[in-house]
Amino acid sequence: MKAGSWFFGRMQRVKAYCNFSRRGFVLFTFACTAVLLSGHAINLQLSDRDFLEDKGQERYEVKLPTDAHRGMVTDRNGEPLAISTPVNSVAVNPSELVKHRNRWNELGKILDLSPDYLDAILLPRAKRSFFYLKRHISPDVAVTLKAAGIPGVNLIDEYRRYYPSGEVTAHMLGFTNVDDRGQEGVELSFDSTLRGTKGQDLVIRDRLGRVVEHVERISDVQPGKDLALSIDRRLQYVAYRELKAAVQKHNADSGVMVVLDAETGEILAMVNAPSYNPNNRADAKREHFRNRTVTDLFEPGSTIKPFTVAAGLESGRYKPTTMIDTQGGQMRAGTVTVTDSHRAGMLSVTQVIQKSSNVGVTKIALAIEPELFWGVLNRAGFGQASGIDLPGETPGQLESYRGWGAADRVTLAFGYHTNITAVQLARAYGVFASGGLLRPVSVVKQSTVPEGTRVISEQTALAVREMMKTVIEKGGTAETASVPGYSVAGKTGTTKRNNGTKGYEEKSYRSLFAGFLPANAPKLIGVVMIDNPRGPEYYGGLVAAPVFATVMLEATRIFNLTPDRAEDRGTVPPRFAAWTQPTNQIADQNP
Amino acid sequence: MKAIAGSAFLFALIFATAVHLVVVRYEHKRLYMELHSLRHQQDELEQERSQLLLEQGTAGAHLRVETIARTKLNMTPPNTGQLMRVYP
Repeated sequence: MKAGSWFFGRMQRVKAYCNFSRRGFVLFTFACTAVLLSGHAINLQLSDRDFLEDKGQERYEVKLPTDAHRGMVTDRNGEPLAISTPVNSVAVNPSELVKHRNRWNELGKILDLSPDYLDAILLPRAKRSFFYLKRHISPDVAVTLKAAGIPGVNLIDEYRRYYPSGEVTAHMLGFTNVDDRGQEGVELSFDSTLRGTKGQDLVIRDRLGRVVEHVERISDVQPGKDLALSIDRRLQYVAYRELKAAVQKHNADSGVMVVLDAETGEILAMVNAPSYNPNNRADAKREHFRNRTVTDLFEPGSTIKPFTVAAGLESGRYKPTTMIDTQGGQMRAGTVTVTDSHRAGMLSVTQVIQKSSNVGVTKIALAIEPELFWGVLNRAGFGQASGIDLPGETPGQLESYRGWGAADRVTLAFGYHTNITAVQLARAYGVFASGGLLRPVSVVKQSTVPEGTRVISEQTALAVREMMKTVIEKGGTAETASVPGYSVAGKTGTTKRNNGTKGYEEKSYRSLFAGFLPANAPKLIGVVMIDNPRGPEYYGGLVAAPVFATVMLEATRIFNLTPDRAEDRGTVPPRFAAWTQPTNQIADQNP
Repeated sequence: MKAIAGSAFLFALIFATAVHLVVVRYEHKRLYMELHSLRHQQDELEQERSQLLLEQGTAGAHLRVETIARTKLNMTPPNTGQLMRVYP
């Protein structure tokens, strides 16, 4: 009561001398403000609510990605060939960093970047908030940088790919780019398997970016799967070592070698020389990245002769003992003059293979139906792609018999005017190794023997195999391909190189050998091609066949093959692997 | 009387579930933290594994092994007369 009367008494006095107007004005303003504020509150609550809530959530809710670990690539025994390991990359916030120019010198010193470079790269981007300053730094640099704590500099976890076998497996594996995506080889063709998928988590973060609460898992991270290749790391190394030594010894442009499992069609070794170091590609030449075993075509030359003879046997007109007059090693067939490098007179079909007589196979090719000859080559995979799971395979070239003139039949008989890759040739030789079947080739470890398609009868295949054994025996063109303790079947080839527009070059050759062992129950098929040997030797039997022999000798030990030649019992391998010092000096071939 | 008992019961249920919710949320947070630290641990172990594999692969590279065998240890492959094949 007392307070009330005091209040009213005061009111009276205020009213008396304010004349109501001032008090009224203040109250009115308050009222208006209250109406405006509540109006706005209603407005926010009713019409802009969704928009505002979303905006708010964006501030504290973050989709946090989880990186998927890229799968490991191993050889057939589980030895790692490609491994991803986490490394740090330096990401900077240029708009933050320009405020701390006093620390740029320090930053440059840690990362080994010049002040000029930093100016040139950061100043034009001063308004941006994200920029990769340096990718994949070494762990100790990362520690130093973290300790320095320069504002606007962040370390990001990334994966880097390493290849422990380096140049030995470079072409087969290929490599990944800086974002861990496959670029070449197996890394590219199996990229989706190896890569896996990133996961995502929805989390709430505080002002400092720490995760406060996990809201939900948007998607699970799926790590990449490991991949077991068909190659054997030990054999791959031996093949590379021998091939590299041969390319250097004969001063050749390049060389390739493929070793296949004769039963399953698995690639056991696949090498190119020269190679490159996939762990440090800065100095590598781009032309060396190409896996020549699948991309480069060449004329098979005399290595096609077993197929010509097989077609002859299939026709029924020839038997291994049928005699052919090679006319002293020279004949004219239409516009083509065919000559032999080992001149002879009457030769049996077996001797035609053993001595690699061009005249002999020409006579066979001219005596049989073109369709039959083409059919054997076509079914053996000539003129086709092998379908191997590696990027960039070039299909072979073989013109259809319908377009053949007499000259085509003749040149085809000894391997010209058709092109093939080393992998396709190795696959085709599988026809003789398997008793007439063509099987697919694979770079991935197989658990079963894939089904094959019939190319020639088993009888023909075994007969040609017997002929190919004589090539390695005394009097054949490739005694150098012999592997002590084992029977070997094979065929040499020496072709003139066709330089596109200029035609066939003088004194420029390709040296070839294709074969398999043990000849009676084949396990391993090998193809060697040395391109443009410029030394005094260029014959397939002298350049390519020794590489085959040394690699296969080691392969028999690696795969524990039982020797099948009784006459070699108790004797030992006379020739040992050429060994190249890492300094690139060639050791003596016969130590 | 019945109505009062009913609402008391419901009130108790609500209270119980409310408390339970708090417990569950707390548990979720705790487990998430644990998951997070385990993942971190997994990452680190995986990192160590890959680095060890890499080290093993590099140390066991055939070129390196052969170089050491030939130069430092003076080893050569056995030659004629030093090898004998044993047949069963």
